[in-house]
Amino acid sequence: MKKLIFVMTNIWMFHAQAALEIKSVPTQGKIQFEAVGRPSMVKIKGHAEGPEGGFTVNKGIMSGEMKFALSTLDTGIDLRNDHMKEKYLEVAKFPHAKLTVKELQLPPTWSLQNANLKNFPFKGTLQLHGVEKEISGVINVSEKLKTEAQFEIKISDFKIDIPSYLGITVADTVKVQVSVNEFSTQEK
Amino acid sequence: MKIVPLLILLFSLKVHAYPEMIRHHYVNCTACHFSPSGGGVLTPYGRTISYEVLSTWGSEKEARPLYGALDNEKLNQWLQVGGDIRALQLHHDSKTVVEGRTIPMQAGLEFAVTIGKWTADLFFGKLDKDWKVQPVGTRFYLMYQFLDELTVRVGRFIPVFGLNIPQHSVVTRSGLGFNQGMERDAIEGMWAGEKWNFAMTASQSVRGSTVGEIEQAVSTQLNYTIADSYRVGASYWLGAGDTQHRQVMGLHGALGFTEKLYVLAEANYQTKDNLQAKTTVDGLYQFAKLGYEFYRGIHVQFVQEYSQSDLGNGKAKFESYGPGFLFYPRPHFEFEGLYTKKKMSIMSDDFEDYAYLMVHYYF
Repeated sequence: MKKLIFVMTNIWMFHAQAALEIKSVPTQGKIQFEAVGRPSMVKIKGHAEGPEGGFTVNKGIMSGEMKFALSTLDTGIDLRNDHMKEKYLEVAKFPHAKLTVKELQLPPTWSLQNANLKNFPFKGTLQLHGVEKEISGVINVSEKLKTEAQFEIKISDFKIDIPSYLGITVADTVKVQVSVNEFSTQEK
Repeated sequence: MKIVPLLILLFSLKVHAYPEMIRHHYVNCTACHFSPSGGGVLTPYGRTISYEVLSTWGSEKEARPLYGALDNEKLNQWLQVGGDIRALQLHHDSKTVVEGRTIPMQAGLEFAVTIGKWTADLFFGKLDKDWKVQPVGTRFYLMYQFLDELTVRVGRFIPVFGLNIPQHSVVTRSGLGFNQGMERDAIEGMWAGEKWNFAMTASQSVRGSTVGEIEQAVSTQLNYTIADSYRVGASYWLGAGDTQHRQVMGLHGALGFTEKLYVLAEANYQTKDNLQAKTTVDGLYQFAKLGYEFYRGIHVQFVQEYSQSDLGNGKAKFESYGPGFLFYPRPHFEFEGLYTKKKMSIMSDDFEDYAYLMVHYYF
């Protein structure tokens, strides 16, 4: 009984804490994606600068958004970059991709001092190419708040033409990983 | 002195296939080549990559067939025309001889016609030692693509075994009869997936000046790709001729540590049974190359080879090692230089100096 009271008190104390604001440091992060080009199964890997934005944790519930500039995407091949940005993502028209997470219930034990999360499921909304679509994935957070979010998207969901060039056609599903190695935090 | 004709034979033909492209996550050869095992005429995508990834300078149009005169998109990609002209300047320096020799290697045209899921490929032309091109189809096949991953082809080509590297004079190719000029009549199925790659071939050697005895063989290869940049595999060959049977088992790897640093390595063990003498000879054939691309299209490399065709005979040893470079200045051009110390125990107990510069123009 004493144990239960102790746990309940801790949970109440955590929830009673002031809201926590977490902001990413874009230079300490990275966006990565991986697609497959068929029929030869060529792996198309790209990366971009880290996302900017942040989240608020209030009473164990996390909400917020992050975005990054699509113009910083790089696949290592200039021509492929040009095609990706101009023909398919239409970066001039839709310069950013934005991930919004609303009311993600964190584990009751979660705090800045106990930030570890392993394969923690999340749902959010990704805005890309002028289309908003719900996505789901997993988050991994280390004790030092080093964070990786992984999810998959379907290109066709975002009204992007399936990229195809000289016999190589990109598969519809693309794996995305958002990494942020450093956050600034502030209690409010 | 006897070595030079031997080297001429070894260097006589080459095709280009670059398993080290695994460092750019090209896990299968078919992104850039029509042949599932690599080499030969480039796909339209492969031509773009020859500029965008392989060469120091150039343009996309420059990389196209005949510098854009044959436009792939206008041809709807059904016809690919290519070809190769290749020669090598060899220098040999030993206690008894200093000599240089220019060796003709390859000159010919290659056509690939794709209609639906069918592809027909023909390499036409054989360059002889007098620099004359013989009108011979040296490599050809008809291929059907059942799935993105699954192809079957029938024709005359080198069966899949070990690493299909351009240096066909290395012991893992020439020492085992897998070098150019040793194309076989074959039927081959290949599964080329994201992680797993599997090939099975039934083949028969073609009687010619370089083949003494007809060998019928079945061979298989299994590859696995790790982290999209490391490919490791194993090969097995079971061959039978009138006077001898052989088995070859091998392990190989194409390891792309970074987009610049790579290693190619292969080791094969051969057991050969002489049916008439009722003797068995075991042999070992090994090759390794460490490469670093310090600027796009410019590589330094270190190549090492070892073989002992008869493990019971110390005179059957061959050793070679040395530094070299690769330079792809513009699409269509390839230069390769290698300086090696070689020891052929049957000839001498001393290492001798060899150097070559290979010039390759593909169009």
